[in-house]
Amino acid sequence: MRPLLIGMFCTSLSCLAATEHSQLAIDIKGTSLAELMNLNITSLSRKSEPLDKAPAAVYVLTNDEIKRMGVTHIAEALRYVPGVEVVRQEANKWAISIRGFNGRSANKLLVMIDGRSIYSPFFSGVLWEEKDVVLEDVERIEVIRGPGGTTWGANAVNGVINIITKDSKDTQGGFVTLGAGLEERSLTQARYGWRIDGQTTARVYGKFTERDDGGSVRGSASASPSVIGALEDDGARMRQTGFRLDRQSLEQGHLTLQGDLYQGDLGPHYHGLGSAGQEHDGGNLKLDWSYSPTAERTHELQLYYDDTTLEIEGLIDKRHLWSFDYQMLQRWANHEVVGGIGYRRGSDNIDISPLVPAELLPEQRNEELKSAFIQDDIAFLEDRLHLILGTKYERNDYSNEEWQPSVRTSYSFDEALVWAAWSRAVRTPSRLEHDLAFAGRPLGDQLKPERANVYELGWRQQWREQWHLDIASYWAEYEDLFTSERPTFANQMQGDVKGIETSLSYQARSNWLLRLNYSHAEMDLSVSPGSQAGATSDTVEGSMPHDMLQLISLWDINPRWQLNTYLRYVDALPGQDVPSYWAGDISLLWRPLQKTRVQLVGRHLGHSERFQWGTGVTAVEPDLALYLTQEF
Amino acid sequence: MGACAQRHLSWPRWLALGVALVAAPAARAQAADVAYQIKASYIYNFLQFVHFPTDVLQGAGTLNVCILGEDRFGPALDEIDGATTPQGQLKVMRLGRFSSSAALDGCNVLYLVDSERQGVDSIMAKVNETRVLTIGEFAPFIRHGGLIELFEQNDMIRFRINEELLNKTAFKIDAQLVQLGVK
Repeated sequence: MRPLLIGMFCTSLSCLAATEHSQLAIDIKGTSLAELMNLNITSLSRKSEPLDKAPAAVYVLTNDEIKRMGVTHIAEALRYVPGVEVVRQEANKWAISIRGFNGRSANKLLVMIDGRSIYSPFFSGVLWEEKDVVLEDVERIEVIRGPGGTTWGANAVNGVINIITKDSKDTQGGFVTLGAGLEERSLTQARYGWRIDGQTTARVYGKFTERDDGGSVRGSASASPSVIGALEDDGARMRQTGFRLDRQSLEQGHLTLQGDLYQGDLGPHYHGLGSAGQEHDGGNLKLDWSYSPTAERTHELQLYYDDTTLEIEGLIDKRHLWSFDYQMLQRWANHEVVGGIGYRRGSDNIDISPLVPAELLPEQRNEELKSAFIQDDIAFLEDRLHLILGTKYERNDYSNEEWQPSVRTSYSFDEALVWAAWSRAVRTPSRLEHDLAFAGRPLGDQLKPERANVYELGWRQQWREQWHLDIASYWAEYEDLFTSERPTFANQMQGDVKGIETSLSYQARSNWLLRLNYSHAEMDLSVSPGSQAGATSDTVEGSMPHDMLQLISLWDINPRWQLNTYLRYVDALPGQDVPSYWAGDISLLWRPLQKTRVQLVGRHLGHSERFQWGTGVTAVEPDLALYLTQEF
Repeated sequence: MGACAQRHLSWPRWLALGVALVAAPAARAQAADVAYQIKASYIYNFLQFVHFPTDVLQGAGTLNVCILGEDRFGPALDEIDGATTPQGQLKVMRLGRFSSSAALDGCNVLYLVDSERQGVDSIMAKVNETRVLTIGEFAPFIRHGGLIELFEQNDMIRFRINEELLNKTAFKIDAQLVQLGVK
């Protein structure tokens, strides 16, 4: 079942993702009856392996590709997606962005797990270290580069990442993985799935990871010895458990209930404030319901509760979030219309230590977000030409009303697809930006949302079923970008980013796939006259790599052995004093028995250690790890 | 009526073969491929919503899906072989063309490919349709006593269910599947 908030250009994506490496035109086990009844035989037959029809820059990491990598965290799996900037700032902290503006609070990228947002409204970004999934049970990771505001709302300015876990009917039985490594110190995870009755299946899982400290420390000039000391000791432990229950019946539709509980800490074990470490814990519970009364109509409902607590030096952030979304899809004639409404309510309580010379006004805040969206996908010329019109309307507490429209179009040839899009997207101020205050004076209460106007053009082509090419280019204009103007925050920066992202796959043999991903970007930012943030625009520009290159080889030597090798190049980040670098990863997989998997993984190879970001960071060290998985 | 006419009409093997060679250009073969992927997906989907009579499966934990006729599914069938359903794990058995000595006893699900259209009555005579779930991909399969019939309409593949037969058997099918299949 597709996740609730996946919009139209992704519904076509979900049908395809699972078939990426097979010769099949449809996902035999993943296509529902309602979908089957609407499949057009001749248009599907135009090519045995259909091109992705999405008129957007999408890239899918399948379960198979994720497992081959042998990574223990989502963030590391994203290193081999074209155009995605992944930086490991410390041993256990990542900064991930798409199309620039990376940093600890990479605030223009929306990330979701099964449609549940993991974007922090406090920092405006994703705290990757506290978000985890059992990668074995991830069906796919969909990465959309470019604005997704029309479907997903604010903060999806530069991209959307949706991590989609498997239906519990597809995770029957159990497995245990034990792993040990130099840096990925230990991984212990287990899952068990079973059938409750004819229509209901469930699974439970547990995952425990331990990561070693990073390498050398690069502190800022003004960093105190205690900060340096804390950085040296930045290992982490993460514990997580959860469940998923699916019930599918044609009369009642598909019902999913899932939840997770997690608890983790970074740095030295500490108690109370004053010491530089981090603790996080939380839980969530989510209910999804999808129902198709006819082949032409689908209702989808999503309800979730998310509770998080974050403790860092001098600050405790506790927050609760309720989210409700409903959407309906209706097909008639050559139209496919999706419309929906959403309501989100959050409350927080932020406790800042008296030792910190700043405050948050107010300390407790309730927030509301109301939204509605509609999209119409109109097909012409025997389904070859598509026009997708849509807009999202949002009402939030920080900037009032926002409209995020987009127009997309695509034309499919027998072996190719060209698409173009125009979208507007916004990034609303975070709680921290808006409410941070010194001596009772708030810094950002006049902040406006950041705005982007984005043009995209893409082309996908396949030749003789062996070659696949995907090219996306974009030109994004930004205005009202956030700047810090002592003593206040303002929106004094603007500019544009132009770039191109390509992915070329070659199925050299039936058991050997080669892929080359390459992206290039140019960022040009400036500040308004009178702004004090002149240096900021240079830093932001210098924090985006001009060029990134990834070379991937997935080779099934024989049914028992797989060798997967990866090579990546990241251009220099002058704004962060990081030189360009090459790094390699390798994963050798062996199945001595049908239900036993042994995986030897080498990562971050090529240097003894490497800084990937500016200051206040630790170096990334090469890792060698061994994982043993036993299914039962 | 159609059934009576067909019973007496039997093509010589060599003629059928000759026609197939001449009339099957490559493009058509590819189109058939997609149609059979959709059909394989239907088989998988149906079995998610059908409850077999308890005495039929006897807790074996596997569901034998027999494909009778020319194998046009290709790798699509491999996808559902071994898949789990509420009734058990699917085991796909490709039986090939029908002959009077064909062993259909082990089949829980019997799928008749279009190639068996001519011999449908002799096949159905060997099957206890109250214990075996029969699916046919040609019309009028239902009139020959089949339970589910797949047919093409407006370039899409749809299905109908033989409600009369369903009421006589101990199969339980989700009411809405029946409803979707009646339209």
